Amino acid sequence: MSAAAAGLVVDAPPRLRRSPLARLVRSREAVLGLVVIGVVVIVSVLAPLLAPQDPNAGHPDSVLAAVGSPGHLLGTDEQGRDVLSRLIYGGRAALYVSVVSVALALAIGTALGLIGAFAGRRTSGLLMRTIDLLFAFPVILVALSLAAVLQPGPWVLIGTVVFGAVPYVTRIVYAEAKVEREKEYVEAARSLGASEAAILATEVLPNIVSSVVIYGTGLIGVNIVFTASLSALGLGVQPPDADWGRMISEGAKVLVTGSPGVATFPAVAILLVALAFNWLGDGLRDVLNP
Amino acid sequence: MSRRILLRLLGAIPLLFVISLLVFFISQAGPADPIRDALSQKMTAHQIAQIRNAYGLDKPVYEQYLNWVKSLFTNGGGISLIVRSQVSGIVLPAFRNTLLLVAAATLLAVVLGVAIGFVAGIRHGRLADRLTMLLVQIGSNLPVYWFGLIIIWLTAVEWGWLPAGGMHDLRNGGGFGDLLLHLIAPAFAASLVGMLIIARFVRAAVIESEQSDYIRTYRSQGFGQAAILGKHVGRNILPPIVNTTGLVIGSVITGAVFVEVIFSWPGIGSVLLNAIPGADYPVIQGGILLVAVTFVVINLVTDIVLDLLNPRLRHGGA
Repeated sequence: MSAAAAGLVVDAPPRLRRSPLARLVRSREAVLGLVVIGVVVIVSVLAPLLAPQDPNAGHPDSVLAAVGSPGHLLGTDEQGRDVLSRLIYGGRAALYVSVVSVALALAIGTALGLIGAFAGRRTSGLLMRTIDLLFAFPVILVALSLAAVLQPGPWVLIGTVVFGAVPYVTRIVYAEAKVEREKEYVEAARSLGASEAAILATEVLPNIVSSVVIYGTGLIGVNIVFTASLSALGLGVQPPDADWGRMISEGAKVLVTGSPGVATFPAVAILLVALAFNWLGDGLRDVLNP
Repeated sequence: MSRRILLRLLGAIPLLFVISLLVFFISQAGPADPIRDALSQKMTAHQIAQIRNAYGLDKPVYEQYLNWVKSLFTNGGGISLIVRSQVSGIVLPAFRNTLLLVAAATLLAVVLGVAIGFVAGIRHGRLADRLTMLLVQIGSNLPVYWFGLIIIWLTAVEWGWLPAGGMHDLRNGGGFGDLLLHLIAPAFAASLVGMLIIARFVRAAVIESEQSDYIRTYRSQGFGQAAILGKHVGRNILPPIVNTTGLVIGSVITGAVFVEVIFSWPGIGSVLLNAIPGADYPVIQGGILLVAVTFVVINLVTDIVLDLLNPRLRHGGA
């Protein structure tokens, strides 16, 4: 996207000529999302420094301490473990798993989508038909199968998210690449003798990357919620490690018996982070695809 | 028309074949050797080899696959390695309960989703719409597990309206009304994600439809709001609703498995989750295959319904 695209930018209304970053900062929800995500990432990285106590050390003498009790700002769980410390550690697995799996899904989906758009009719038809069949497949079956094969753990979560997300990413990339393929700049590159592979990599890919990034940002949020539920079922992060999803299922027993915080604090954390990724994704959409 | 339906039916065959291969592969790829795990402490190597032979586990892989497929039709999917009874006897009753939950949840998702989407779409841009969309955004990002717990807490503990879990009241023998009471809360929890997807979708469709030229024409001719919504907007968004419902069933099934655990609903999800730690492969394979095949069938039905709703196909055509 060289000369032709440059010409477009000059014709664009002045609002669009501001740098993307400046426009992102003007979007209130994007900034809010970025701040929440930034705080959670920093807290997760610095967890060993920030957590007031060992997240996995139980204290039999201070079981189910109330919120605000001395030494336990958010109380303790059934085993006397400090809820605040577990909350600080509990986002690590969720962020790691969601980011890694969404990155994998975006890479695979983009490759498949581009192949679908540029391959011959038969390959393309077969590929996209297969993708259609995988669309909306109940991913819990994938999670259960992987747990039976691999034993429960982070790879079960990553594999499940990738399987569930690839069809959607492929569809988006396929649809966009098909549109781009017919545009004049691609024809111009082709007439200049560029190979199909070079056109894909240097002309088409840069033009669809923004859609992929926007979709991927929202996807991270969706999957922080989803993988938390899988971990709550026992298919993901294993005890005694602190994890927001597991904290919910571990706090389930005491939710109705006077300690609702044990399960509710991690649920609120999940909700906030997921919303933050949604807001950032919406903000990015306004900036990148106005 | 019938040709098209036939083609769709034929198209499902390779898919079912691939699914069965993948499901069969679970027992091949698994790290555990269930026979040795279950028996090794009590038996000699020779006895273990005999049992392996009895289960057909010493045969070549393709033969094991064929035997397994055959056992699905003749032997109820084989014998559970742990409970020592036919897989079908374990899996089918549980699956019936799951199907009931999924059906109820889908019904709720469609009815409530369409209602929410319609209201928000008609009040587009006003307070009601913005409040609804805020709730939709929060609801879509709630961890299902916690949401289920809160429903139990509210409906069973605080208000005392509904039972806290299970499928029947053991004290008074149950009955249909009792089952329905037990079904409401888990079905609602399982429907949440799908309901909100449908709501967002219907809202967008209503807004688009409302702004289209032909609706403006009807309005300018003095047709009432109810007639326009019911006869024209409604009819135009019906096929997309059916389509979205088909897509949403996958997430309802996933939600149902989460919900079964929270509400102690005796369904296939609980059976599978219990079978995984013991590497009870016949049960795992039978259960997963059953749900996957059901999903394929539901999708097929959705596609056929969409074909039937499409006037271009209904009146002649391909």
